[in-house]
Amino acid sequence: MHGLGISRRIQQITGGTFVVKPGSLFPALHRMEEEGWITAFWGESENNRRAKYYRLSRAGLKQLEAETKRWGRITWAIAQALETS
Amino acid sequence: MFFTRRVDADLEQEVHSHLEILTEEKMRAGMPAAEARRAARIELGGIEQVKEQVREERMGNWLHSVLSDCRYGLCQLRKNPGTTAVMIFTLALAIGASTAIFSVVYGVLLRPLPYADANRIMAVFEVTSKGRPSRLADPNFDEFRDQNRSFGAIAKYDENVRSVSGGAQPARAMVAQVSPEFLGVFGVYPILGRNFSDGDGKQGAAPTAVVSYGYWRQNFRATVDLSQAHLKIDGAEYSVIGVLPDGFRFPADADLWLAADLHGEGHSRTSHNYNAVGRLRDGVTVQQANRDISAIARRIHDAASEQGDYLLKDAMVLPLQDAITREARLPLLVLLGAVGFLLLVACANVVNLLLAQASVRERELAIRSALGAGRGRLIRQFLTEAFLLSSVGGGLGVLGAFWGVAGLLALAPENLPRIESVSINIPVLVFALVLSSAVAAGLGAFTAVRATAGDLRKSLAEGGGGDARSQRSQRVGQGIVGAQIAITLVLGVGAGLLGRSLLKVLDVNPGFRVDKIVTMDVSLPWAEDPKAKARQAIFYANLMERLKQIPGVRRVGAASALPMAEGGLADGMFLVMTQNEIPTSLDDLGALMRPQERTGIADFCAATDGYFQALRIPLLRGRIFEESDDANSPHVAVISESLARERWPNQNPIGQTIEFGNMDGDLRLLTIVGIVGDTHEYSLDTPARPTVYVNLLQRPSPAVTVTMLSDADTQSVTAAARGILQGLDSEIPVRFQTFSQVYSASLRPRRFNVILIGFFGIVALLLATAGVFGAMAYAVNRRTREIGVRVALGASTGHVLRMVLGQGLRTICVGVATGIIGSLALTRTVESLLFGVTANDPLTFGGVTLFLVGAALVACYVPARRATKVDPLVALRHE
Repeated sequence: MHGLGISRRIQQITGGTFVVKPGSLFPALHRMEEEGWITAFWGESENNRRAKYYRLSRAGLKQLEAETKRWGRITWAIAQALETS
Repeated sequence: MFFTRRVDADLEQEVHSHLEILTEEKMRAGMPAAEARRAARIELGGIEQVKEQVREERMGNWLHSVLSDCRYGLCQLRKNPGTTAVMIFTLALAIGASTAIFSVVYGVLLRPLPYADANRIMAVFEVTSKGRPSRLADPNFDEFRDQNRSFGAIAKYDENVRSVSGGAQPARAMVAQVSPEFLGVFGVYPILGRNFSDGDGKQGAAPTAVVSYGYWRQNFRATVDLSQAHLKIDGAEYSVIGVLPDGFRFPADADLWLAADLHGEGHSRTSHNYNAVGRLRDGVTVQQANRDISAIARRIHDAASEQGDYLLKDAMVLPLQDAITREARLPLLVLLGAVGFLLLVACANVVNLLLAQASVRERELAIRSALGAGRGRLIRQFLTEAFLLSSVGGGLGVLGAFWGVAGLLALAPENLPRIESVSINIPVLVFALVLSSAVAAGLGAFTAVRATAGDLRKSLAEGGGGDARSQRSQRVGQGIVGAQIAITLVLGVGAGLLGRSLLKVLDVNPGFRVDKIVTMDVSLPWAEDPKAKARQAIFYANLMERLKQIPGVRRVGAASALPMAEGGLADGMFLVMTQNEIPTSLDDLGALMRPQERTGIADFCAATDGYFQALRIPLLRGRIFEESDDANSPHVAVISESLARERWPNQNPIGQTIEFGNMDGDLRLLTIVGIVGDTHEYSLDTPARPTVYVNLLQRPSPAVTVTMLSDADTQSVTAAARGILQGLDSEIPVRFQTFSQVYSASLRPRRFNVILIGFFGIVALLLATAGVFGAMAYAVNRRTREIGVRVALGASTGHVLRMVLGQGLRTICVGVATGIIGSLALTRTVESLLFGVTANDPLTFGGVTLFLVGAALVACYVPARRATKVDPLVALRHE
């Protein structure tokens, strides 16, 4: 998916909670590319414009798993804390 | 890492394409083109800003992470100030010592000579029948010069100390006699006045001299007008024709250069009067020059009328730098190797300390890893810390090296060539920088790889590291200590062998006494005709008489050179002949020199009888010189014991007459009247040379050293003697020393090596002992739980001790074994530096091994004892 598409998708899926402006999107994409979690390639968009597309790499997949697990733990912990207090 | 132009362009395209897509979307939604564009731009938030943000992110990221590594590293090091200080000190010591030694190696061996294209300057030698290089004889040099095809310029030179007056005051100066092309070989030309011309070097030409810059400033007050500048050397007037640029003083710190051959050239092909240098022609290689000169030499050998051992057999060409530094090369490289070993031992200590620290930080590393730091990032952390340590240690080390180099220069033997080019200069600093970086990289990488090996997250869960990991890191630690012990053993053996050699050399009986002797170097002008020589003899006789009157002086003597002093005696071939065979001229004598039963080889020395008494050289047979041996009676000589033994094995040499006039120009025969004990002329570790001593009062030599054996203190004797000499002739420059100074100067090269390698050995020993101690303490710490369990289960103190020590002993044994094998292999390289001990001397090996094992055992014992005091309850709770 290309950069614009990613931010659109995030906005769509989270029901408008997270709107990622280009000013945050691009730095984040470039950081992730540097860490090797996503790979980039140039391609043609829906309306035949050239755009930079990003794909998740294997390391990125692992990172995603790890982050997901971590997030899961944190939310469970918070939920527990709230419940018992 | 940094923002390259390509990435920038890429980003530019990406942002633009984003903008395009946005704009099109809006247009499809119905906005007019211009408005759509504007809205898209607003939504994007400004192209340049976006690009800038990405850029900052990238750069900031990198810089940020490096800085945070540094900050983190500093914090870490500050947490354990003691350990950090120890590590920095150890590194400073090792890097400083390496830098100091390297600066000497660089200055002496590596730095190019300070002349233009210095690698084209060659030294030319004759090769003797025994294959050793030697100086050149005049006619041989002439043929090399005329027939060679390899040299653009070739020149001969010789140097000695002469008395020079006409400058500020009469003084002794180093004077070189050179052929006219000499300065051309070096590419050096006078900054004032002119160079030698061909005419200056011919027999009978007006004597001319060129002076050094320093001499010109000191004695001629830097005058620009040289027409009034004159010098009196050996009674002849020389006009100064040129001044050389500052810094040129080849050979041997010369201050004056005279044109050679003013008294004509020698004809003998066996009097090796000169050294030679030449500058290769463009395109000619050293091998070609060698073949060229060698061919000429062999032609001379085959055609010469003089034959025998003193005639050249071959000739060789060697780059001048190699020729000058040849003898110093091995000792300096050995020193470099030794300091390299010290560096390894020091680094091993630091590595072990870092590893120990790393194992304590396991938890922290695990957490960082879980938070997303890749292994590369962690490795970078360790590298950063190692670089911090190494740069501080290296910086301190370089500062220390300044002081160290000064010490080295003070300690160094006087005959260390090119000592003036030793200093801490840019190449040396570059070396220090590279060394520090290499050390940092090595330490950091090693520590990082060891510390991040294995699954870090496991250690989080198990709270402190699994047993398998700790066992492996212990083994690594023990391995490092074992290596330290091995290297220290090699160093110790080296130091031991050299030290024993020094002791053996000191044990050698020099053949003379050394203490309580004041020496006085006197040089008179060179005299050829018999009347002048007679005057010199009277002068010496007077001088001896008056010196004997000085209160406290018991014996006074003189000789053309003292044993072990710089310079030494000339040697040559003498002939046994009878009265009616005396040749009438020196050239005729040359023709008679053929290897037969009638020749012999010996050193030639002119001495008085007081000399033998002052130095306590024993008289073995016959007599020494007496009052009756004066200018009108037959010339007499005494010979050394080894000469008597070699040349006249079953005869009595006393009464034999020999001809030795080729040495001092006096053709009268010498009658042997006595045999005296051997003396070590050159050094204690070369055998005594056969010597012929002639009577100084019959055959005076222009330069003598007067020896005074006295009970009074040196100062008063010196003052009195100086007064007496000036009373006799105020123009004669003089130099005073004590014989023990001269004697110990000859031992300096050996002492230098022993002191330095001994120092490295001791420091390595201390470091290795500390390493053993540290590793042992660490191992005990790791096994605290296990020890607690055992004690709780009933193990005795002794059992615990044995268990702990056993581990240490294994390491020590492996280390020692490796060290012994290494020493056996390596000591062969220093064999030529040894004296009186073999390279595999069992006493040295055994002694050093025992000492090292002892020190290591003591280092093990202390932590082991602490292990026995472990309280099981505390231990079991220990994590």
